[in-house]
Amino acid sequence: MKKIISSFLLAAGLGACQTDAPGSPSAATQAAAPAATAAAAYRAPRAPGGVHPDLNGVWQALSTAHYNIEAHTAQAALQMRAGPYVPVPDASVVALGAVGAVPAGVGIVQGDGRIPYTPEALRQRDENRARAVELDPEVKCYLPGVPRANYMDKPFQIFQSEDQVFFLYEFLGAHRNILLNSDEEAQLDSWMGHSVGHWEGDTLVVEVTGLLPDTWLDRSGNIKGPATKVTERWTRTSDHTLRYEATIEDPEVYTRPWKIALNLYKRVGEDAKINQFKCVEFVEELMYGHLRRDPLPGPALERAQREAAERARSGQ
Amino acid sequence: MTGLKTEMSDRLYGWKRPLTMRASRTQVTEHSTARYGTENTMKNVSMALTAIAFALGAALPAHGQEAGYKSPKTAWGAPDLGGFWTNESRTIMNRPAAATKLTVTEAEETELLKRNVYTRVEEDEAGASDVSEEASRKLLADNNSNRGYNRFWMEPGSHFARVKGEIRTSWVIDPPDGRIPYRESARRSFNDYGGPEARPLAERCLRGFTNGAGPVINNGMYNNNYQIVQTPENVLLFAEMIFESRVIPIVRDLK
Repeated sequence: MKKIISSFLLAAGLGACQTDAPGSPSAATQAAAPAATAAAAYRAPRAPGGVHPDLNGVWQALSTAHYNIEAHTAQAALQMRAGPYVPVPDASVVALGAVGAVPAGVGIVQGDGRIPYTPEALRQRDENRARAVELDPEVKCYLPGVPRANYMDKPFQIFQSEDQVFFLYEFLGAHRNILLNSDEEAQLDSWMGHSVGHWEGDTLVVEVTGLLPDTWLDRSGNIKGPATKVTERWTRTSDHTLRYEATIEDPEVYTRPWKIALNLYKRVGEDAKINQFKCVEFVEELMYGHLRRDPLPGPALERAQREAAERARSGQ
Repeated sequence: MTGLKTEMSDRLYGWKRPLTMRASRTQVTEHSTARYGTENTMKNVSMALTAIAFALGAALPAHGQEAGYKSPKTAWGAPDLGGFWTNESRTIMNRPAAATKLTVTEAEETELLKRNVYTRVEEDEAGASDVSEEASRKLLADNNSNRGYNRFWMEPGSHFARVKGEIRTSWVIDPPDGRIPYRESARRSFNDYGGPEARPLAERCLRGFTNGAGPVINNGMYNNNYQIVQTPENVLLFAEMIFESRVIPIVRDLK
């Protein structure tokens, strides 16, 4: 089944990129060009203190990168299984119908549009993709990590004072405190990592290390590794846009450093607000339903019965 | 919670300076030594106050403010609250049973602290750093699974809070018994273990068990640290406990 799904996804990806000759810029790269030009001409309003550009505000990606950061055609579901003629939505998501479908996207990976995985990492990605609903940390409401948090389908807010920069994400209230001009190294690995920032002209450059490898890059199983370093570049390109570029490197997972880039859009007026999305509460039935005193009929009860039978067999 | 008043202070120390502010039911005062050692490592933040109250009340005479103290200002002229703060303290919301009054002398504080739960845990665990296999087997022989937090992980401060120069045993000052006057009907038991929804919010990791970011913000066993980032439009109050954030839009400026 995995092979079928991989072939299907590969074909879908090739379909989206088939007009690109080898070595030519991908659709994502071409789309980036106007933004870069605009950035050169645009002078952003200054933040408190009057020196640096003002990044304050509520920002949000308007792309489908959160489904898949590589180019992808629309498909019926995040997790597919073999059907009698073509792959069909996995049983776990079939009830969602069109709501569970994946919209197409040109991707945000720069260059040839492909993540340069090592063969082993690519196999892991494909395995993740085949079981995305079961394995995606976002489904379980785990903290999303970096860079994933920046292009989710929910907004985030940047708080910038004279001497502090702080990111607050709607998803689970994830946060990052950007240590400015610091040489402090990560003391521990963490879900959202350790962010150290400095200004290069009007661009905020943030080096993120100490990231737990458990987080994914999107809902399609794309991964990072235990030594992943993300170098982010945040540049305002208009009153309403913020360019996000990131270089991702990890020799254990990728054959070379690679880049992503996308535009973030500023929410204004009554939309300039992040809401509460404490999804821990929303996944309790998923995570703990089988542990209820009386598990509800369906997957929770089936899991409880299956695990009880396993315990009985093993004599526990 | 009609009729309940609290006066909260704390040991909030900053990189830069101590902070005193006023909120409707909150008094803050100066503090002496910083838990984090050398000067200006952490800021001393008031408890139970909202950042909007900070911003609105700061230009008014602030109770507990040091004589002659002038708050530093942001680039746009608001009192500068930004930085890292802590409210760790042995003072808790409801007066502990061992205390008979709101304020105590230093000698009385010393006596009370001898019976303080954290002091007792410290004594219980004295010498427990022997990590030999034999010691570990002995320690774990009772299969007690409630050993998630030993004293090493606790960070509750070492003294009661000083509020307006007084040493306080509880944050609640009214009613006079220093305890929240719950209605009987408001009391909940949490004896139902049938499913997650029956458990307290803190147990479900939906709120910190100290009520972290508030309101009313409160201190507890550990993670009594806060970060405030202030912009012309918003004040962000971030609590370390369960990484909770509050975004307070600044809608008026009374200065």
